[in-house]
Amino acid sequence: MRLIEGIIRDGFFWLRENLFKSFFNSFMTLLSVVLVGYLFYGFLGFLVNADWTVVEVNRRLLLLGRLPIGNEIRGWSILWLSLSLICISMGIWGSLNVKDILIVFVISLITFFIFGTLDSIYLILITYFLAFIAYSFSTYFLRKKYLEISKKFLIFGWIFIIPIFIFILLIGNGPSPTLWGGFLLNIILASVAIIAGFPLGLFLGLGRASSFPVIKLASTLYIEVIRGAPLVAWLLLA
Amino acid sequence: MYKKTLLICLSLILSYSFLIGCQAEEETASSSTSGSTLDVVLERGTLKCGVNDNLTGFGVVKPDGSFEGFDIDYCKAIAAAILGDSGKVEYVPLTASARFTALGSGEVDVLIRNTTWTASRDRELAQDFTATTFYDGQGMMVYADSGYKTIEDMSGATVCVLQGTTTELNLDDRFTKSGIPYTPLTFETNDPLQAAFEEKRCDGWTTDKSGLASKRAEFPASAGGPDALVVLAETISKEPLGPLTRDNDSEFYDVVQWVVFGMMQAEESGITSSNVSSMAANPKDPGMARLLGVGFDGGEVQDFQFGIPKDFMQKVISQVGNYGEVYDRHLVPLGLTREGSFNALWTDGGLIYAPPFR
Amino acid sequence: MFNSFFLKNFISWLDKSSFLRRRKTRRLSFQFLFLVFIALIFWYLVSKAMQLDLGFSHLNSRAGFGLSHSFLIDYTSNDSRWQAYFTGVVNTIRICSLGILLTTILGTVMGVVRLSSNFLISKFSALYIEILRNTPLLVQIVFWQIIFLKLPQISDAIIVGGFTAISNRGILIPWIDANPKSEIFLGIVLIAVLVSIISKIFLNRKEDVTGQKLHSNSVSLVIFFVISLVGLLGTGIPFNWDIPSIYQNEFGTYMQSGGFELSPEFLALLFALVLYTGTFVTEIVRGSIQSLPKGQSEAAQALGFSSYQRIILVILPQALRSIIPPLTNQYLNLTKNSSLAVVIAYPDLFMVSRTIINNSGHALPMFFVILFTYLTLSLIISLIMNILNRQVTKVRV
Repeated sequence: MRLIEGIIRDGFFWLRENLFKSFFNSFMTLLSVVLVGYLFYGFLGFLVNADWTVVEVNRRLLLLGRLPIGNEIRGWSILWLSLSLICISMGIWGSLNVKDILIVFVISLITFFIFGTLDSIYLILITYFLAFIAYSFSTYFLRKKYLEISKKFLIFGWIFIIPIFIFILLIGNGPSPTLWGGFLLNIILASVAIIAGFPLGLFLGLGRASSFPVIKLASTLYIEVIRGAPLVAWLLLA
Repeated sequence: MYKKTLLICLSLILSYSFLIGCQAEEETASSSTSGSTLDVVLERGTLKCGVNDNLTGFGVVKPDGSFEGFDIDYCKAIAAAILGDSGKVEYVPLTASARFTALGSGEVDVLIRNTTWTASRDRELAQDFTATTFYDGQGMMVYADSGYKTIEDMSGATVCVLQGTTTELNLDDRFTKSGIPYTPLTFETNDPLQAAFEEKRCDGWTTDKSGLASKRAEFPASAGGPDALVVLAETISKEPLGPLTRDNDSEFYDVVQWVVFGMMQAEESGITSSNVSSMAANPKDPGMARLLGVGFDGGEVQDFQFGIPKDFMQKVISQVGNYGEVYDRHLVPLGLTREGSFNALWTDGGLIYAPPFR
Repeated sequence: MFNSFFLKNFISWLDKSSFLRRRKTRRLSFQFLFLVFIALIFWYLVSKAMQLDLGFSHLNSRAGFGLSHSFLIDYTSNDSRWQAYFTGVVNTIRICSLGILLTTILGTVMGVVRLSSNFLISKFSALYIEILRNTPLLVQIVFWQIIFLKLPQISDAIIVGGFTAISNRGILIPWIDANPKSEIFLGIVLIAVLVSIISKIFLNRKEDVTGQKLHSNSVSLVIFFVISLVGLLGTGIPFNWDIPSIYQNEFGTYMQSGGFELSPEFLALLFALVLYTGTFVTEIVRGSIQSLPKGQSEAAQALGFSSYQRIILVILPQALRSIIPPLTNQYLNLTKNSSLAVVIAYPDLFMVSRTIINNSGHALPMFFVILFTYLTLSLIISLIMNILNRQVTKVRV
């Protein structure tokens, strides 16, 4: 009885402190409840009433672009490779708490629900299994015993991941690069940009801060000119 | 310490350059704009065709990634003529605003993307137009309940148009010439344009009449369906559509042009994909024999020196078809009938006329 | 790394005479090599560029295409391409200036909200940040365009008689029409501003010297209003109301007239840009507020400041010094991102130049013009923000 009283009192106290501290505060709480409720209701309505067949029919196009049929395994292997690398890296360098894992799990479920089909259920299960194995392996084994060596290997892995991606896509009479598309292309582009951009940025930054006036001028010019025009303009020029 | 970093850097540079080198080998062959494109295509083994991926009837990409349409079939025909196999095509979808730079830079060998032949394009863009495959005209599509009958009725209207097309310029010419005030709304791609038109953001949609027919045919029922729309009778401009090649590329230009003419001649002579082999074995007259690259009555085979196998038209017709077959396959379902239009054979009063194969 | 390795060997080989040992020679030779390297790259690029046409004369020819929005400039298709381009530039400036203003306000509000003690609204702000920051801007622009297209069609437009008209062709708000007398009024307003500023400076100085409270702010404000009012009445209220209305012309086409038109393209682009860049500004504001020593906030509370006063008088002025540099970056991003307007038919400078390139075929000269324009815009913004930055970082903390 005392316990329930205590819980209720704590609950009210929390409410008062966090939501209804002052008149203005209470007003804001009510306003945001109404707003969030309205948006949520509208969003649910959209989810239910929208025509999802467009996604269903064009599933493959969205994910792989014009990759010829039979090449899906390349896409999957790229996904698995990057996933294991990410999970191992997280195990070595980071720490996951339950909240993060839950968010990732939920979002991946939604993605697979939208893009997965029944016949690829095994592949999806393999993906989850692989992520789990990689993360636990690195956290409970590598981190304890082989920390330094794994770090070096991982850095190597991250640097060479792009040639490996391209190798996977091209090996054995692979599809020509103009056929790569969809989400696969997004992943490749993003990885290349991030990984190759890092050393470039490092050099430029060091150059700009250097004491050699020529190098400083060259780096500054490059940075300012490239930053001056929008990305679409550079795409146009290319 | 130095050695280690050096080793890493070297291996990195090597692996990257290896990959880039692999790509570059493929690309230098196609991106060299000097030298005959015909040689480039023969060496590469595929034809790179710039196409549309969003115009029903002319060029669309299907969910499995393959392409289909009137222009697509001409890509296949050229590939069949040069390489012997209509499947050896690499389709490069291009937007209206990017198509000319793609051809000029060597990204594609030929551009077959419902492109209008104009004087400024012929000269300013340094590209050449081959035979016209479709005589089109610019039209205006409006809602049936708006009550518009002519362009003059559309004073003060808002018109949706695609950017970077002759349509944009023709629209302006037509309206300002008659002093009719209007507001153009220029989009880059068709999808936001269609969304705006469905919501009646603009009163009219202008593009080639063939494009209007295809867009009208697939107009969603939720916005009224095809019956809610009407294409005005007036043809705002002449829009002859055909394949393009780069300037100073006569060998390839001639091949493309005569493949198209060959398909027109085939229809005129009555050769179809089903009877081409029997016609080749037994040509009815010397003209047919020359077209199909065989000897007539045991005589010599005429070699036009195109640089491709003499029987190229046989491959084209058997694998793709003649002009009429291609037209019926893709454009008749849109409601674009040939009778009485410019796209009928010259013998039926139209403009489809092939110079002689002699 | 490769360079220093090569250099080390080169140096040890050269290390025979003391001249070549000198640090200055080493530095010079290293820079010289670098210069040669850069010059080679440059020469390669330029030789490639020279193969293409580089004339600007085609920009003087007749444009031949219309534009849907032209603000301040009377543009017709008969004007030259330069005119078309300038109309595009004005459109870009229009969206960027309004965007920067709204983004700052939104970002600051949301940043403060993010740190509020109210659980619900701080989570709401966090949600806003996470969702809108992680989706691509292009997707958001298209999303907002679709939303604005869902407004009632012009035949069923919402008309609040004499005040506004809302449809999917635009939102019209009442505006003022200038007539010749209004120029005199504008002059009077300028004079009023000057006088009030001078009076404020004067009063401030007097206050510093004598120590009396002279309420310089209120006094100067009153002076401003009095002079403006006198000017207004004196010129006989030289404004006409431009009231929006929708009517049908003789052919049945719905026409909008009067008022100031906010087209759906403009609004969609504005909303998308402001909301997207606002997330980044929110994070900047939040970060810089959190970097302030906690003592400031606690002392303000102890002294009896209300929450509002605490934020406006104590927290934000100090946070400003670490907000401004990254904020400048975000303003530049907004300016450059406005080039995505080409997707939804808003004729900003990039879209107009795309049309010109398509019509004329000369891409490279146009590209240099675009580059130059964006660089100028960026430099102007950076300059203004640098002045602000200097003002705020006057005191070394």
